[in-house]
Amino acid sequence: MSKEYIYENYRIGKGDELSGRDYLLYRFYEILPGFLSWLTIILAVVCSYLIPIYTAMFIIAFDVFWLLKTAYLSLHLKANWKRIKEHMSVNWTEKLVHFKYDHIYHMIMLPFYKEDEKLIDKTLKSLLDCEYNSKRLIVVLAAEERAGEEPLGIADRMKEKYGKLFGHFIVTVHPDGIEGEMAGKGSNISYAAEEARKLILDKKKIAYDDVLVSAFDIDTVVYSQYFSCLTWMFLANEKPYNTSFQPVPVFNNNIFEAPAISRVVAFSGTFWQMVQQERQKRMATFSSHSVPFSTLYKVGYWQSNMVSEDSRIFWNCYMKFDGDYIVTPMAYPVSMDAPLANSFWQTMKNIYKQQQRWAYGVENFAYVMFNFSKNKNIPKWEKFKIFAINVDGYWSLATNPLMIFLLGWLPIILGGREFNTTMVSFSLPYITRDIMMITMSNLILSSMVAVSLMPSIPETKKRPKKFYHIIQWLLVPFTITIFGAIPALDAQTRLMFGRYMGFWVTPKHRSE
Amino acid sequence: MTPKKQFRYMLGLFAVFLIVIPLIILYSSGYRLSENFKIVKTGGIFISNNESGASVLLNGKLKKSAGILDKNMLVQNVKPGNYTVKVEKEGYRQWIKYIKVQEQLVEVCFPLLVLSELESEEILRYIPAEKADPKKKGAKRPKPELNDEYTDVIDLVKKSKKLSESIFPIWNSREIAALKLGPMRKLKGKVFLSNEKNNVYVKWIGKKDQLPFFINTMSKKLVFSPDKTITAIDFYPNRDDSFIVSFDDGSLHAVEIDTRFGNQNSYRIVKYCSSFIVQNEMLFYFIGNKLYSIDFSS
Repeated sequence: MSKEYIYENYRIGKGDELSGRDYLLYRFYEILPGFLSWLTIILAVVCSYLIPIYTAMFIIAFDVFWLLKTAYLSLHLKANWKRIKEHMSVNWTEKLVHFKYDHIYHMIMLPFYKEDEKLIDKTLKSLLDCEYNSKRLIVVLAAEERAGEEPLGIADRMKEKYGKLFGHFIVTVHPDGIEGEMAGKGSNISYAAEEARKLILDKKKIAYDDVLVSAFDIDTVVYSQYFSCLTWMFLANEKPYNTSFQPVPVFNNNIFEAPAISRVVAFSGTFWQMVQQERQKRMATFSSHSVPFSTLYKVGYWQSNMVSEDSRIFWNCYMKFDGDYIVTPMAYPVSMDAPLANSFWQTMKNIYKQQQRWAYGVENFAYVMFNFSKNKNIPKWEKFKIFAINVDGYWSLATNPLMIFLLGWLPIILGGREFNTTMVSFSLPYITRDIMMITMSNLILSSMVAVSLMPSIPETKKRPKKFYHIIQWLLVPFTITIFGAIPALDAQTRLMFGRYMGFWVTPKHRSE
Repeated sequence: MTPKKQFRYMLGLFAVFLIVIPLIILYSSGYRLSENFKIVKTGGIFISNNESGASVLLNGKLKKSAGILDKNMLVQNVKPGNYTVKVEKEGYRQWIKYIKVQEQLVEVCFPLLVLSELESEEILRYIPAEKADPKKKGAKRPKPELNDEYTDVIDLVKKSKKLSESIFPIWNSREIAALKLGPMRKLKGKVFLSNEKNNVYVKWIGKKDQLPFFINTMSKKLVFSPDKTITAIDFYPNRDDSFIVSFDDGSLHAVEIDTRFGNQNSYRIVKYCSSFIVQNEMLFYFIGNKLYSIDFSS
């Protein structure tokens, strides 16, 4: 008989919370992704010097692999694009008539820090604009004590304005300085969910099984059929309590105000989520997502002692249900803000910090591997698959753009005189260039998808030229290196050396 | 996308990968399919020009023409053997080299393309009266004003003489001081040129693994041995793979350092001068007191 799984292992945030052998094991898995990435970079340099011919051949093979991988991912992107368009055209409210759904409540978690009142207002208004009975919506506006008095004033005004229009509306204030917590979204919404349970669900005797929790960011704007679509997917699911629901985050709210680099980075993130939506087994929750309340309650809500609680909640559930847990891709969008600040450089800084925080999702790798070693109920093959998928994912993110766009030239620089007289040496830049040109042709699809996902241009805005929205995709080699590989390597290195990151709130900015 | 479809795509792309990789690696290593469908090893020639838009001919046949912006050309699919390589560009003197192409290797050439008609410009010693500063005009006949450009070149010549005559080397590096640079001993980067008994030698003073293609040895190498007497040498403007040499008959010649495969291109660039000096892309030469310049930047 397999040993019972220890509940406490679910809630580990980082290695230094453990001791003895467990500490060493957890640290090993925290070090591994960064170690592999750095090993790759160091090997690329050393091999370019010692065995330049074989390194050049490897680079050519790697370029071809990258081209085919990009083509493979583009097929997924295209499939998901088709599915999103289809799901956007479906009338989910009409589809729901085949189900009994009046008992279903949606609890919407809206954590905020010091964001602008107008932004919060727009988010709440979008909830009201949904084609869903607003009396079945429970809005939890989750403020932070550490943010000061002003946000509390905003929360009160919002409650006054919208309180009666929703089924329930509460404002929670997450106390500052709770021991063992990290200040951030996870601790705030966990506290808010527990408050909502006590103050609303228990008081009104609403069954936990009948509540779907949507953990949004304060800038998450839902499309009109979101809750109908979510309800349908929940009711139609074979195991509705063993799944989380993932919409596609589209960073459209301020897309016409954001600079080209911000747009490309934001859409690249959306595309990656779209690709993942077609690869269900590789999915973990990301950013805005929905979970049944009863499931959430069983795992103790989101972890409050780490940064990437949005993905961790999936792994919490996965471990709790011994691997019998999956993400249901909704192929239905929610709109969010692209990083934008008052100045161009501040916007660049914000993009970097946001990407670094997302890449810090690598902290989940140690958590998953550590829990795999403790949980004997999950099949070994399943564990191996997840290990391989994760190692590939983190390694690819941090190293592939560097290998393609920078390290590929190393054999020519370091290979020495003898290598520089070979055909391989001379072919390398030409073949790499040609493969890159073919790979870049995939961007035509990307630009088409991006244009189709963009909202209609507001009349108040200067009409942006479509040409710029297509040509901007030439920035991809730059953005995936500077705002992809570098922040990922940065995050992995921090974790590797035990310099744990804290939660950084992406400032929201929209021009008037 | 259904898992079945995903699997099919993955399998298909994996098959493409397995087929393409050996082909592309063999191709990049110089393997080609011959006319009678046999796999043969080929080599190549890489032409690195300072000028764009040149053409390469192998044994008289046009092999490649560079575009308006292209300066470098890689001629591939060349069967191993000896070739006469010509690089041509309208308005320039033809560059010819006999090259031995070896399998899976690339011979690198830096053709010295010299304009057929070099335009020289006289630098006047005095600024013509109408161009002189009117403020300096006196009531009497104006004193001719020295041309700064002329005096700068004179200073340059003096400086260069001083350097070679100085007892105390001003160089920071002992290694460079030991080279005793002067009119017959020149250094550019790590390429050292010297004229000893009317023979021009080249020596690479850098690291072995950084040896340039036009010097294929770490030892001192004889690169030029003319019949006429050499009076001075210097590097070709903005190049370290060619030099300018002046002879006792007053002529100036541009000569490339590269002596591989036996052929060395050299061109007369000035019919007569008494002395010359090179500064960056400029060549200055004197005929008596008259100073002329040729700009090699274009």
